[in-house]
Amino acid sequence: MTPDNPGMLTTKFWDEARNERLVRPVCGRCNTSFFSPQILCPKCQSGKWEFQKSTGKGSIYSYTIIHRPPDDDYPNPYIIIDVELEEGWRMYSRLIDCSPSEVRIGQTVKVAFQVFKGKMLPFFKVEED
Amino acid sequence: MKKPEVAIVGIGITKQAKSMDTNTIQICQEAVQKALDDAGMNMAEVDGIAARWPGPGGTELDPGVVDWTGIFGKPFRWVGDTYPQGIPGLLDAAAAVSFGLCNVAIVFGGQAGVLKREHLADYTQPTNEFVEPWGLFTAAHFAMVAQVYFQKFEPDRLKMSYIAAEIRNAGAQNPEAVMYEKGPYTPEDIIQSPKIAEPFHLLDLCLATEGASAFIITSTERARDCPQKPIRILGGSSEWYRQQYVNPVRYDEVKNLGKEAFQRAFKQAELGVEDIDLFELYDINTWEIVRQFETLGLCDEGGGSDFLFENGIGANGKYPTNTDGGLLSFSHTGWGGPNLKVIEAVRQLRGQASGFQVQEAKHALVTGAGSGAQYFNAAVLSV
Ligand SMILES: [Zn+2]
Repeated sequence: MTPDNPGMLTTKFWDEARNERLVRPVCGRCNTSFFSPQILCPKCQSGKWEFQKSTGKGSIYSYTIIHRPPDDDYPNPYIIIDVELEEGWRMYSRLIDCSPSEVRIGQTVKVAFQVFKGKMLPFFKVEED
Repeated sequence: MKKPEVAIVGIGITKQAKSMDTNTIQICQEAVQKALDDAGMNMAEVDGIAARWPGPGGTELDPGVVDWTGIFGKPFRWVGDTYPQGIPGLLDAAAAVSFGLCNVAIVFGGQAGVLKREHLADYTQPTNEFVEPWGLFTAAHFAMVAQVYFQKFEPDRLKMSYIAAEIRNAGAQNPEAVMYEKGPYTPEDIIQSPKIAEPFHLLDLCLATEGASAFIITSTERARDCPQKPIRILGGSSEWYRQQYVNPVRYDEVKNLGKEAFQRAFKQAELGVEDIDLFELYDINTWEIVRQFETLGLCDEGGGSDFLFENGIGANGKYPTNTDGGLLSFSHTGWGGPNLKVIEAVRQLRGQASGFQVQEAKHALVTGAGSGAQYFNAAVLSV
């Protein structure tokens, strides 16, 4: 089963991304931040939530270095990360401008928007202390 | 819980290969016919089916959509649109027979004519808008789970690689394996193979291949008249944690995925892990084998590689594991791939292995899916 209009769930995320703003759903009832966008808040099942701006700061929960790019647009190797954002939500992304030998679990990262394959994407960069 | 009075009475498996010059429906039909022959049955007796099921009663109505009643030219009393196959298909069919929804159920799956050489299989690259832009594929989801384990426990990479080498060497000796005569491998060979998604190397990862397989389930009463030794399904259970391959999957949440399914399956079977002679475990990568043995409670978290290296998982090991070569070397046929665990367990328990035969194996544990997929399932089979 798919929602009646699945695009509605995520359109605003990508609209905001075009303006280099990272947003995530925040529940109006229990204040939980969650991701990816769902019809109902996964904690309290409220349908009343709205996108709010994230600081874009977080840390690397895990990562993997990929040595087989799907196509030539990717650097070889490239780094995929699982980011824990400071508002307590998580997303996958790519870590850019970082040498594979430098990436570590627990590193502080910050969102860094970049156009990739014609779309503005929230990548991340290591945040210097 | 009562022990189910159901058994596997027929198995069928086609040739397995990197790619095949036929199509999925044809190859599935071939596996079905082989399973019927093995069970001494014909299609007239089959009244239940677990396969991908778009129709009739399904909602995909385009011309050419698979309609198994049309293909087999008969209606069924029970259908399960079971995804994936393997243990979910096995348990759905066992439940259907136990409840009397059907008398004879056939479970089948596979693929042919869909894999392009030298490319990642499409089904390993979800098109979700929060997955695809990062260049994610299924092995990368598992790699991010494993990475946390590797950092926390710093497992001996050579001992872990022994597991991949042993499973691949079983496949190298099995004439039916896609990777027959590829090997033997040493643990060093595994580490020296190209890195794909760290911490995994090429030889740590499963195949994407073509072929089909099928098995037939009926009551233990009907099974008595079948030509082959019936293989009983003593217990089984599943854990569905979250939708696979969408939102980040984390080691701390899924490290013990399967623990409760194992407990329920063993309780139903009235057996313990110490009774298991044969482990046909879902080896989507080397580390998932380690994780499953740790989750079974046979060794401590972080100690799985040392434990398996010391005890052995090959023909003469204490824990014979993935005796056909597994998903690493035998075959992995997409949605039908999980069936191969059941097929190999049945062959071993009957004493009909195509590769090395474990002597006098009585009880087998079969598993499916894994940590990175966010769901898991297990069943106990017995001769
Ligand atoms: Zn809520």
